[in-house]
Amino acid sequence: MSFTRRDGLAWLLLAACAVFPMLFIQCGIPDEADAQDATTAVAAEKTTFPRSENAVAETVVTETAADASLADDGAAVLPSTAENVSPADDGASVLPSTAETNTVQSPGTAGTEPPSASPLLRFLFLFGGIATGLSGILLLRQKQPLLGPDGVFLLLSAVLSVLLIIPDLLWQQGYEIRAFDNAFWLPGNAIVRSVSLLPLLSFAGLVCLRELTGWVFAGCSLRWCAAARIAAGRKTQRGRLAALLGCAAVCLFACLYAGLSALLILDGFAAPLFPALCFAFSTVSLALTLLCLLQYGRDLAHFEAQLAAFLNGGAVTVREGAFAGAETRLAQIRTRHDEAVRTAVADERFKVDLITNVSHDLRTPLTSILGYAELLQREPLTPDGRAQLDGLSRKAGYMRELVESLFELTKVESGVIEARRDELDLIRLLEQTVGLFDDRLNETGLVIRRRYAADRAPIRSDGAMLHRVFANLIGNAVKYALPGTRIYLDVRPEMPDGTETRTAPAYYLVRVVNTASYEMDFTPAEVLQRFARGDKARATKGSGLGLAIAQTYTEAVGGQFSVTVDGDQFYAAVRLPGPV
Amino acid sequence: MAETYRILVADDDRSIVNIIETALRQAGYTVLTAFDGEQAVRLASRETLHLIIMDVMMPHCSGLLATVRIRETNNVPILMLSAKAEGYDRVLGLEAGADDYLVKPFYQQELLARVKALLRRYDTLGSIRETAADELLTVGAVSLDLSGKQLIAHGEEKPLTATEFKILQLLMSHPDRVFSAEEIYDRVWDSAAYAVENTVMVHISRIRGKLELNPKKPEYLKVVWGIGYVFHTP
Repeated sequence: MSFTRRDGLAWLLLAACAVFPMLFIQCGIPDEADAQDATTAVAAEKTTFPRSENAVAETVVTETAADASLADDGAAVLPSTAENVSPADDGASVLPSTAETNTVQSPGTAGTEPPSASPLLRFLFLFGGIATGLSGILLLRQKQPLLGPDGVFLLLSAVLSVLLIIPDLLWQQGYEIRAFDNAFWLPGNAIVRSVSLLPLLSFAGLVCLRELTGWVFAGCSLRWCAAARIAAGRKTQRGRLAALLGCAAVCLFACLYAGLSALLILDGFAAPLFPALCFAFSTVSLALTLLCLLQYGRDLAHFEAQLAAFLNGGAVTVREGAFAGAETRLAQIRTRHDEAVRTAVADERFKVDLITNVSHDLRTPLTSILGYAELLQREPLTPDGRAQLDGLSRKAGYMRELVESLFELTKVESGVIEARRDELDLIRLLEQTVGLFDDRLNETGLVIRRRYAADRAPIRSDGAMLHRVFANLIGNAVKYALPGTRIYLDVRPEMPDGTETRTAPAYYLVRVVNTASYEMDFTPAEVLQRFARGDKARATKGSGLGLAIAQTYTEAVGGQFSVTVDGDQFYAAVRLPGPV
Repeated sequence: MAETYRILVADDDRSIVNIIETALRQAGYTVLTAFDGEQAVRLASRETLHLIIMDVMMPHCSGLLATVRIRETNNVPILMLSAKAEGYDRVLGLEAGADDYLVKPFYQQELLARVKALLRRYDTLGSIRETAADELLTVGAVSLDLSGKQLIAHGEEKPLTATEFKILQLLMSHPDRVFSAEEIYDRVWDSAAYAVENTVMVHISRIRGKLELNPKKPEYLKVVWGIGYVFHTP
């Protein structure tokens, strides 16, 4: 198991949590020391403390006294001293039933017995510390957020409210610590309470720390925020849980505060100003935060819905909320995109119409030319006339082929024709194509040598297009090959790196190789251009579009086409994707 | 036979009408001419015709519309001519009521062959029906006489070799089904397979020569590249 940063932090926290309570047990509270330094020497009135058997309360109460007495020593064990002092040896008196405001002055120098630790309490605090530490570690080890950074704010507000308000209300007392000639006023229990409620504080602190570090480690993503989870998880348990927890927290604290302040008022608690303000502030801020979160969550959900609609091609609506700006821009992108698509489609249609009309316009006069030429063939002519007619017929026929080829080529290049994907056997297709050239091969004395690396070559492609490609290539080879030589037809199953393979090839490489009957003084790029003829004198028949058509069709089926010239050897290679 | 046939040629391009007229006259047919759809419809209703050759792109009334109107009252065979060669143009023409479709520019030989075939089909339809129906395997304008082992293509009887007959019987019994060369060889030849593709291909080309109006552009016996061969229902 690898040791991550998370683990390191977890161990650190564990150590801190184990030690923390011990420290507090052994050492004094720094704040208290500061407070007492600041105060002027005033006779300390003994505070009256609650009648409850609550050990914590007693602890809280008595530790103040103990601290006061031990102030000079600068060290106190809070919980342990509490026990000893609580038997009211130091004059702890009756708890006032009315809400009198007693002021705890700065601790006097009255000597007291040094506090002795109570084993039970010490154990409790140690246990509490370790428990919170462990829970912190467990939480840290989790990958999923519990609250998220915004939830942390909620939690802290809640905890602080608890710390500041509830003990006050519980004990129906307000305690003040006055310093600097009453210029510094603070509810005395605050500091005390913060220590006594150490487990709660540790837990809250650890959860906050865990959430915050988790968020940082997760790249500070929005996903960790409660709002995002509420938005995304409206239909899932997590989202509902998050929303539910938030509402529950607010309601709980609101009720708690309302109830306790009612008690206070009934009891005649005179100046609940500070607690009331804190209460109001906490509740309102909690409620507001939650409302904002929910609303934000709703806006986020709407935005994500618009994104999904955009991807699916639907309409984008704009909602007044946190994401109004982004949604407006999205709607604009959609509009522009639709316009662009419309323009492209219109362009395509225009192109297709153009191609069709042009070819149609060319074909009509061509029909007449060819027609008259054919009729003339049957008329009596002088030998010269016949020769001229032959020339006319030939050129008219050539023009016809040219028009057809050009039309076809333009259609394929403009993407009007879509390549099919049928299952076929490449070897079989080659054999069928070669079969067409049987007669011509016999006439010219050329031989086709097959070098197939496999018996079968199953692929998914367009049979008609592939037929044209290979018919053109083999036709070229037959036309331009030196009589008496061999034309090689290679089929090679290949891997992506070009090595031959027996099984599951990524590509099939088909090559037509022939020995040229003339000197090839052109580059491959030159010969692939439209109307480029290898035979620059243009003495032989051919439209010069054969290779261009072969290349276009090859690319239309997703293959690669290349031509290589090596001395008198002409290589035409077609690389087709294998069956995937 | 050919002397009494009256053929109407309708095209807005006068030189094409001229060419076709000359070619048909030389073949022995009587020719009437029209230069737009309206004229064609009028002549069709007034005169006795055995065949109409109609161009698609014509003013006043397109060839398609004229065909539809003529078809309301007349069953005369119509051969459509057009420079538009797209698949849908062909379908449109045939749906409008044409019996055949020829693309410009065309070879006159092919035009004459189609004219003859159309005339034969409608003229000698009766004689074809005389043969017992279950002995005849018919797909489109091609019939295979199973008892007489003969091919009747576009009204004409053509002799077949035994192998050619067997191949045609196999393919025509399952029209539109693609057979690979191996499958055809297995069912037709008795000997062991050797150079299957080539052998089958040669026979197919020979059959095509007998069966098709234009062997270079087969309508029935087609190659499915990379898979095999099929007898296509038009």
